[in-house]
Amino acid sequence: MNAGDFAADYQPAPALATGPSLWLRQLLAILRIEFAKALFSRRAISSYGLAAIPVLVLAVAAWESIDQGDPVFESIESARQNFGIVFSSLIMGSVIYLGSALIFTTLFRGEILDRSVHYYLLSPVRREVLAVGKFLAGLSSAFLLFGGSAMLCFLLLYVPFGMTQFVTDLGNGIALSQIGMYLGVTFLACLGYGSVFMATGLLFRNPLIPVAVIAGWELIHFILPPALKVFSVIYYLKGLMPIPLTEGPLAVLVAPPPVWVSIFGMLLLSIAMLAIAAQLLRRMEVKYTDE
Amino acid sequence: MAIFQKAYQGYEGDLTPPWQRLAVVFRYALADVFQSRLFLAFYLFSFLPLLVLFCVLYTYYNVELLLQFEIATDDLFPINGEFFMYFLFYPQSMVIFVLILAVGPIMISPDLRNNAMPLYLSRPLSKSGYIIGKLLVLLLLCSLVSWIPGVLLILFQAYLAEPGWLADNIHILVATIVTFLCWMVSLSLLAFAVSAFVKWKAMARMVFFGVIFIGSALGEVIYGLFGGWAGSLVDLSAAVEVVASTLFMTGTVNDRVEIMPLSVGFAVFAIVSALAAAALARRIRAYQVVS
Repeated sequence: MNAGDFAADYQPAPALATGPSLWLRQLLAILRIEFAKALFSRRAISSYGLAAIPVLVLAVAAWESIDQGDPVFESIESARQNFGIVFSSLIMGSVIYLGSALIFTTLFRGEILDRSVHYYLLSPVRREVLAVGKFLAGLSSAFLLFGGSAMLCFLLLYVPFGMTQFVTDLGNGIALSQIGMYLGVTFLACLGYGSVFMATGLLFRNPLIPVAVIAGWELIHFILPPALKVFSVIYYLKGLMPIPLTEGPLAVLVAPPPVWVSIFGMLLLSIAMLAIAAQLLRRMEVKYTDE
Repeated sequence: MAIFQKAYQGYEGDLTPPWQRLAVVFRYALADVFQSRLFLAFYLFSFLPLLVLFCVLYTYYNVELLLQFEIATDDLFPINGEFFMYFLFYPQSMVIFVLILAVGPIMISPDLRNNAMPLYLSRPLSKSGYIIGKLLVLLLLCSLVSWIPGVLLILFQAYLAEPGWLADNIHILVATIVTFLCWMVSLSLLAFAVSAFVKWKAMARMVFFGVIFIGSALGEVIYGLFGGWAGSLVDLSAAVEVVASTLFMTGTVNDRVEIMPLSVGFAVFAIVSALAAAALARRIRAYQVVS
């Protein structure tokens, strides 16, 4: 085939009407690519490792109760109480926090370090669509991993008490309501932390600085005065936990916000952070040599 | 001589001693570290607590200054193991952590990422020589802000105090050297291991921070569920606390740490260091698949 034949066969790509339908198509395409990257690439190994930690701890507790005949939990109520502590300190305080930092920071920073972000920036896609697509991919993968981990941990609680106890709790609605609330908190935690880390991933070249600073802030939130507590994600999430936890003798006690405030607070935070991320993305110029 | 006649001939000149070869790695790595002005500022700032401690000790034994500050001699706290643990060891161990967090995780990864390891190891430099050369940088930087000024402080205290103070408190001197060395060696090797597996500088720092952060949370959860000191096995900060509180002959405020034997504390350091060294030995090879 010569050049003339090529020219004869050339047909311009069909013009696509801009607007919501195109943006939706682009959003879904980005979501599909990024979801696969977040869950099925080498980068995801650390997230899987993090999600496995609480499952491993509760699996050992279940195994010890069955195999050694030495129950770790005296009763199912004690087991639920202990799960509240495990969820609060390990799953939410560490696993979801660090997991969200890993997943959402790498959405853009990882692409810059991989020297592949220019493929997105050169394609005819609005930066806002790109930001939302990547965020939704990060959110869905984070929720799938850490929500799955929390659910598995909750199911492992019932192993020493047998199927009968589980069916009873399912029947009276305790198990379903608690797992629903834990999954809800997991989703909101991924939403809140994720949006913050996506924005900081664009803002800071070294993502450790915001991750360490926010971790410090979240760790000391219990001694913060009420006026400052509202600026921490954990303040909105603790009130949603099915089992209220004590924060120690040094804690500055303050009533948890109403459920709707917690939910809308996280939604507003994520919208604000997404807007900031989109704005940063609009002005973004990549110089790989600077990285 | 024609070019085809120039066959390979072994080098017949004098060989440098092995320590001098690793000094090359050390020298260049040290120069790299101080290229960052921010790090230099932080490093200079990390001497500040030590200077304050020197001033405190000087004031402690200066009656005129005490009178000037209107401090009664009865109000003075005793200078003992507790003083050195809380005012020397804890702040400076935190400084060491931040210092290693800033420098450690990024010392090996650039060499691996840029396929430079065959270039290093094709010279008369062994794998251990390379690691020791890099490790010496961290040990030197950490030693200069920890046990070296710590020993000087103790000698200064012994000079100012009544005769026989040093003989009565020789455990403080031993504790200062041993605890700082255990902490800095194990943390440095752990940081190198992370650096060898995570090629991105920023991510390597975050993973190192996450390992320490999640280890601490996991230790608390394991203690909460199972009791005993098993949880402290995954928590390097618990190990350093038990070693410090035992060697400085002070109590600890942490119930979890109090029940942990000293030998287990040392074992944690040994195991972490050994695992990290094994991981390093596996990753650092004279050949690489060039990508």
